[in-house]
Amino acid sequence: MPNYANPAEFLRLVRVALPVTAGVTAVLFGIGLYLALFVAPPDYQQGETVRIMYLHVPSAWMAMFVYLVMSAAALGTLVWRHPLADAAQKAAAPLGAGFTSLCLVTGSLWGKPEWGTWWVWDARLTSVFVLFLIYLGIIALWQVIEDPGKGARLAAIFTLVGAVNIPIIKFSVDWWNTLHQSSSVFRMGGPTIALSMLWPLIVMALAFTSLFLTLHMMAIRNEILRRRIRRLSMLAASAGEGEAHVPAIFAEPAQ
Amino acid sequence: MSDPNSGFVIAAYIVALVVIAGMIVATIADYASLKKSLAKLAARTGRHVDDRDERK
Repeated sequence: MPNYANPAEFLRLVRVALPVTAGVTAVLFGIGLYLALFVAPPDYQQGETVRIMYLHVPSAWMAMFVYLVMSAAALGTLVWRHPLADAAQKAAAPLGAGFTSLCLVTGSLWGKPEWGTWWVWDARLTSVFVLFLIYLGIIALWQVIEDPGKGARLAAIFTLVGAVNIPIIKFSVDWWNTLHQSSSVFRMGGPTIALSMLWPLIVMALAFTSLFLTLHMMAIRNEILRRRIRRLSMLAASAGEGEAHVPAIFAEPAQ
Repeated sequence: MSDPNSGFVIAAYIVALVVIAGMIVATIADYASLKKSLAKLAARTGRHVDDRDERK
């Protein structure tokens, strides 16, 4: 069985999987956008504004899902010392920040016509904003610590501490009196929204998930290359120009 | 869409396009830049490979 903890093996996997996941993402977005914009009916109260939900809800789910992936990777770094765990965590943080910013902006664009305000400091909105700040903090942590090993451990600890915010986001609408509505899909007793709106939402959520998987693989590949460059630079500096000895683990896999 | 709030819907989809395209372009541009740096470095150092480290 291939050892995907080995960066060279992982790069081979990415080369095979990337065209597949990219193609699946494009098809899912094509179908999802068609359903969301042309098939799903306007809401009886919200009218056309409900179409923002097909972006807002999947991006909110992804904001939390990416953080869970990062938390698992943080455990991989601290507990199992998996060689690719810190690369996976570092690669996911900007993507999580991107999905969270999309969630916040689309939520604001929905809030203005429906609530009459761009923003309120209620528990759900505030906890998602805190998640965005945590993502930025993790990205900054990676940037400021020069030693990658130390940076990985600190980022992993920070990520696991920040994971306490995920259940707060999820249950904020139950624990506090919020302007944000309570869950209508993942709830006890099943979804409360009509199937004609649920299906476009599910397809868009799958498209967002597939997009994340594709971009995450690409970003992990970038991290592997970044490490390879760092090692090569150090080897070149220590061995002198033209005499660098490069382990195969940092070499390009066979095409 | 004749809804008075159509502008908000259109703005949301434009923002989504910009954010998603931004993530894709940033990732691809980073890859291209890293490949370029790696090729330059490899050409400068004339690297060779050691299989002993393959499974470390």
